[in-house]
Amino acid sequence: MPDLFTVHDAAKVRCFAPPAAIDALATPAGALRGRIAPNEVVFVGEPGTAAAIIATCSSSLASEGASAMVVDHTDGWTLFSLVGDGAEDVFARISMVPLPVASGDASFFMGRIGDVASKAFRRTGRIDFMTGMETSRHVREVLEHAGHAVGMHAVPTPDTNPIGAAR
Amino acid sequence: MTGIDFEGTQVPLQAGDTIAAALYRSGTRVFSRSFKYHRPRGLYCAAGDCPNCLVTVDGEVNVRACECAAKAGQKVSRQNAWPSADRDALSIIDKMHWALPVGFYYKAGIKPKFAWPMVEPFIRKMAGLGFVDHHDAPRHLVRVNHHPEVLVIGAGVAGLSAALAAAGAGKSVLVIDEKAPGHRVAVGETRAAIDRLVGEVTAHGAITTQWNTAATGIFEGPLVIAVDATREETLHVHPGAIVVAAGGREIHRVFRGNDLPGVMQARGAARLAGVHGLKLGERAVVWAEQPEALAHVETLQRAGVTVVAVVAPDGLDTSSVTVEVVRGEVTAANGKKRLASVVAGGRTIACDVLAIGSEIQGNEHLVRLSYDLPVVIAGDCTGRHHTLEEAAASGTSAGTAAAAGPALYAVEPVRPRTCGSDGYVCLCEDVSVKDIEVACKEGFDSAELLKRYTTVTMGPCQGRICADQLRAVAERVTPELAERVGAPTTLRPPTRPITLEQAVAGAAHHIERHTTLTSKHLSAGASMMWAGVWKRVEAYNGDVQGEYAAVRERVGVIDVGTLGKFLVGGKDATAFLERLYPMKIADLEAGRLRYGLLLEEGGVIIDDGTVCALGDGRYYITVTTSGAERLESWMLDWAEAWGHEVYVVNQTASLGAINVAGPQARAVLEKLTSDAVDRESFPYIRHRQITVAGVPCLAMRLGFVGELAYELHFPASQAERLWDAIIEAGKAFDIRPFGLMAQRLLRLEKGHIIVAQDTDFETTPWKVGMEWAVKLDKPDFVGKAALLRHQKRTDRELLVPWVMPAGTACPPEGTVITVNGALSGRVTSAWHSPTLGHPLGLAWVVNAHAKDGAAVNVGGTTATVRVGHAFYDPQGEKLRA
Amino acid sequence: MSHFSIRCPNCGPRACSEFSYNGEVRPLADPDASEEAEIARLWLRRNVTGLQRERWFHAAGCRRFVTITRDTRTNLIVAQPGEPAGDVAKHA
Repeated sequence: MPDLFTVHDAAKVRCFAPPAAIDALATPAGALRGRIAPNEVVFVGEPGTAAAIIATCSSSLASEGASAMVVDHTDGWTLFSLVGDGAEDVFARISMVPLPVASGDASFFMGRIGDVASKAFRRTGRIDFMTGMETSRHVREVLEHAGHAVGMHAVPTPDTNPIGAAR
Repeated sequence: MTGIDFEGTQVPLQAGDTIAAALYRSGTRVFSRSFKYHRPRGLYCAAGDCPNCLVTVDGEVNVRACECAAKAGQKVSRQNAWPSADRDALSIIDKMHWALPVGFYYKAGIKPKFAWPMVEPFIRKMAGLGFVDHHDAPRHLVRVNHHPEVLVIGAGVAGLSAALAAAGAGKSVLVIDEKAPGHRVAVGETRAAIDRLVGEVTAHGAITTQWNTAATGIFEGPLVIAVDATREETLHVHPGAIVVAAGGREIHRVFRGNDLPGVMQARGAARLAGVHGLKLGERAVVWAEQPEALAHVETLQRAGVTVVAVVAPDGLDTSSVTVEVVRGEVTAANGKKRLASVVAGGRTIACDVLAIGSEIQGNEHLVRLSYDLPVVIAGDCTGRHHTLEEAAASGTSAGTAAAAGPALYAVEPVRPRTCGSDGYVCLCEDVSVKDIEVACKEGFDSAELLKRYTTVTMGPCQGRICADQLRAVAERVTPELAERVGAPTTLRPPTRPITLEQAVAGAAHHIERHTTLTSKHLSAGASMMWAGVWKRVEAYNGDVQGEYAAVRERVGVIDVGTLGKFLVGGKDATAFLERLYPMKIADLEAGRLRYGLLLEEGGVIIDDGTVCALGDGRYYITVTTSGAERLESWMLDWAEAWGHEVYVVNQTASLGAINVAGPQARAVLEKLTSDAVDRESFPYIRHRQITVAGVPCLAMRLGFVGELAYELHFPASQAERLWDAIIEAGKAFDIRPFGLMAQRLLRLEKGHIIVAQDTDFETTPWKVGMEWAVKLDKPDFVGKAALLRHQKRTDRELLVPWVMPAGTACPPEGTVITVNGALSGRVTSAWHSPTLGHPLGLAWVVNAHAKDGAAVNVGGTTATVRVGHAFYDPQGEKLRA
Repeated sequence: MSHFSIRCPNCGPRACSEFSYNGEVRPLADPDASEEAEIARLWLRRNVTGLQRERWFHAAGCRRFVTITRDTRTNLIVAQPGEPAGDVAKHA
């Protein structure tokens, strides 16, 4: 029975820089890393950690000058978390993107989930994906309709470490 | 209730019964009446291919009784007959073939002309089989995606062997079958083999199975769409390779009387007798055209049927049977509503069951749809009967081939040997050999024409029964054209009937995008309208005039959160924007903004918006609501073409935006911020970072609606807080929220264009009087060369403002404009201005009439062109307050 | 509707429905070209039956462009990023 909860204020920081600088940019502690393109990486962290992530990344990329841009993109996203047995079964009912293999480290992937563009992470036992708040109502409906058939339950957002990234 | 309710009578069930089996056991022999002539029809294929057993079950029409599991309490009734299928009054039509020849609706009832409207409804009522309940609400089914490396369609011996072979080669496998494996096979060697293989497959970790799941088409991708009726889901399978092991079926034999109840395909008879233990009749004849058919003799005998003869061609070894053998073919079947005798080898043999064991052909429909996709065929599906060992070997090699990589296989249709001079080719549509003869003579002498004229192959079986007979019939009726007449017709999905609900499972509708303020708007009485992919407020409680008045006289507030918003950075950002926009960017200091157009290479306006210089070589850009999606890729495409290092962050949804407009706008804002927003500190066409009601905002002073206005851009999650604060602070000034309708009127009074409403695919800045937005002294920008070329020409038409006298009715948008009877143009925007007291708007007119003071005819009323005078506040004093 | 796969260099293979089509690759403006040539470059497309170099924008994923070579008769993609363009000649 997979669980579903949403996180509305997950930290989301986008860093742009030349590819080599992005390669060298270390993932801030407690954040998930998503390489979007050669010149762009996104860090997703627990609510309230955006400022710290921005500070770390800005200082790491300071030497790039105008060639680097660190943007706080926290606002305006909804993160959906499918946790537990059957998360893949729900996912198969909301997206035709093939899931990357599950492992301890989060595998980042992008594609159409719940009919909208999404950024997602797969880890053993859970699947998280973020979509824009402007379509989250639609995605929620799709999730609930799909999850109904496989016994998905909506649960409250965990009070601590909802992203499961904090160390 | 322990049985099924069959047309009001209780019919008992046994375990494992299909509806057809239960009904047959209780004595039903006529299962339906044929579509056109209402001929009695009995069980024929018992495999879900033919149309003979279509019944209505619990309100669902056209259910195949031979495949549908019987459950206690089901309500079953036959279709297309009145008052009953046993005594169908409409069977009188069967005596009137002369009045209803093939294609009769093209020939009869159309002259005299008044006849057709009377005849047509009658024909429509007669067409169709079951009755659909129009009040049934459609269900929304779920679409499930699967990504196996190998998909196996069909769980017989070949299919299961293929699955094991592919999994053995290290691939992930999904096996599907339209029913449960072995459901059509009586207990015996084959069934035992299937059961054993199912056990191995189920135990294998790399193989997933799903039964009662029918593949309905193979599409580009490859994508296989399958429907699972038991779970109300539609599967979209995205495999790397596909094995089609969908089995085979006997070819349909055509001879006089071939559609009488009692005439069956031998595999069907064997299923009914062997799986369901039905005593099919008293005396049976088995027509064995190939060795497999001989095995069915014993199956029938074990169910209590006396097999009185086996009809077989010369050359078939019949030593395994002890029944009398008649050499030759069955050339006719006799009987009134039921088979009474057959004619074979010159003799007439009395019988009430004829089991036709003709040559096997593959169920190759899925394969024929797949063209050049990676599909491998196994087992009977390849086009001939396979023994157990042959089927297992075929499956194993197919599974191994599928695991190795894409392979292409072609399939040949079987050529039937002969066709009688009479008999039904198409059971679904009642098309006989004679009908095809007539149609050919009338000139419909190619397969596709023949199909459309006679409707052969167009019924529920979609050619499964009849398509391959076209060739045999063609060779008989028109040998010289046989190849053309009998050519295979185009096969289309689905290969099994599906409902519309199944077809649309998982399809996305228009997704509505909403700002976080939508629920606030709705509680305030807003009606919403589409703006691009967003839903925006049209008006609150329909009071457009009241909203307009608030903005002109006091203060109004509008949610503009749908605007396209981009943060642009990177070391080449300035050079990039300078080259992208027709106006100057490089000279914008931090804190300044500029309104501008976006042009494409032909010089045509594609969007408009603002560019704010943030300092540090970064910019904040806004574009129209409908432009946002398109313009992000537009910008990235140019950056790539020019080799610029440019970063574009789409903040359209992550930032909200609210515009506070009206003479009291500053007064409202001053109550909510301690930052300086007075005229000196914050002039027109500037932007500042200010905090309003505790929310950090990028504020811009713009003039779209022609009043003092502050547009606030802020993190989207703060929208409700900010909106509430503004409304509260504005109460003292009787603030009103306003929507798109009011906004359009307000901007029209300033003569401001809306891209795609007032402009079209040919509109350059020259045609709309926006030369000021183009700086031709820039070295280069997108569209410059085109604009220089355009400058040398005289534009055929121009966009101009116009006015009408007070008291005239405002013309609708799109009204044609004429001058002295000649076409001049059209109205693009129009409204009655409350402030000025008369209709005004924008319109395209021919160059000659685009002069100040010119009189033009707008839908019968005279309007005056007004070039060079803005309607409202021409000096822009209110904007710059 | 077409349903072939495009291998996005950032995201991997995805259904083409995740992308928006940006048309066949066209050359940038040539300042020395005649007006006729420039108008043809702007408005006319080769619209090849066969191999076409074209651009797609991965709207549902990374939101970057990918240039591929596709056979417009079969939707077979014969060249994608990371593959040497020389392959095109092999398939032509």
